Amino acid sequence: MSSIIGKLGGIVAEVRLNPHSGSIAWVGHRISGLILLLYLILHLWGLGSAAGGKAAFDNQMRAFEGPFFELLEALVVLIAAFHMFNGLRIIAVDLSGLGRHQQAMFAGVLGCFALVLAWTGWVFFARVLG
Amino acid sequence: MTEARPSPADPAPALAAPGGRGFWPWVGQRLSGLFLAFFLGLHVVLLHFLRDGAIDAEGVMERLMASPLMVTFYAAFVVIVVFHGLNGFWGIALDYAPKDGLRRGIKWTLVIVGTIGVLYGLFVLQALVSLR
Repeated sequence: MSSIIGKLGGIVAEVRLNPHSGSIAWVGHRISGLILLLYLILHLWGLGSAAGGKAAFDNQMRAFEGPFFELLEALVVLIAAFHMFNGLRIIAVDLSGLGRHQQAMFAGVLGCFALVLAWTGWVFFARVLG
Repeated sequence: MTEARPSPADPAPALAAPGGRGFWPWVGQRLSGLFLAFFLGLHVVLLHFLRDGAIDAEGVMERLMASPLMVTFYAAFVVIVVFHGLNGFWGIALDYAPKDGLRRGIKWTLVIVGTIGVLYGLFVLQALVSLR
């Protein structure tokens, strides 16, 4: 089994040899998926404090307050948004007749992502500054 | 373009051999993805964008008890999100065409991790519902 570097190199090679939006979408989807899987674990762990009762839960939620965590939360929301929009594009390609329009759909994915980015940014700055 | 180029190993052996990615995990990923697009989307809109103030036990209880369907949906959510995440990881693992024994090992590890994940998720949901 080749090294981790070799496997990451495979991803880099894939994009270099196939420099189209589809490859970028593929890498983005894979990386965002892995990050979200890690986040899921953290999320369930944090919520698990509820097993210790109301006080323990409230303490844990308070520990996650502040601008740094607001930023992390905003980033997770953005990563989830990309994964969701691109995922819907994948479903459209796989299960509908729209496959030939996959590049236009990726432009749509980026457009929807930009809207979520604007909303997320708005909420973030309102919370951190307001 | 006729020159050979490196690419993830041909997935056909992984599909044909036992323990490979079959039709149902593939369909399952898309169906679970659709469910999550709707419910996770709603979850994030409610809890991130429309959230008013800090998250605390009272707010959680309010949201969970708002309707008898909430807890049912969150239970389904736990099962579906764990499936989607680990099934996605399985797809990535298959891209590297691991040999028979390793592939089976990864598959069963994911099944075990998934079972533990679902049980833990439901345990957390139960704890959230009974916050006092």
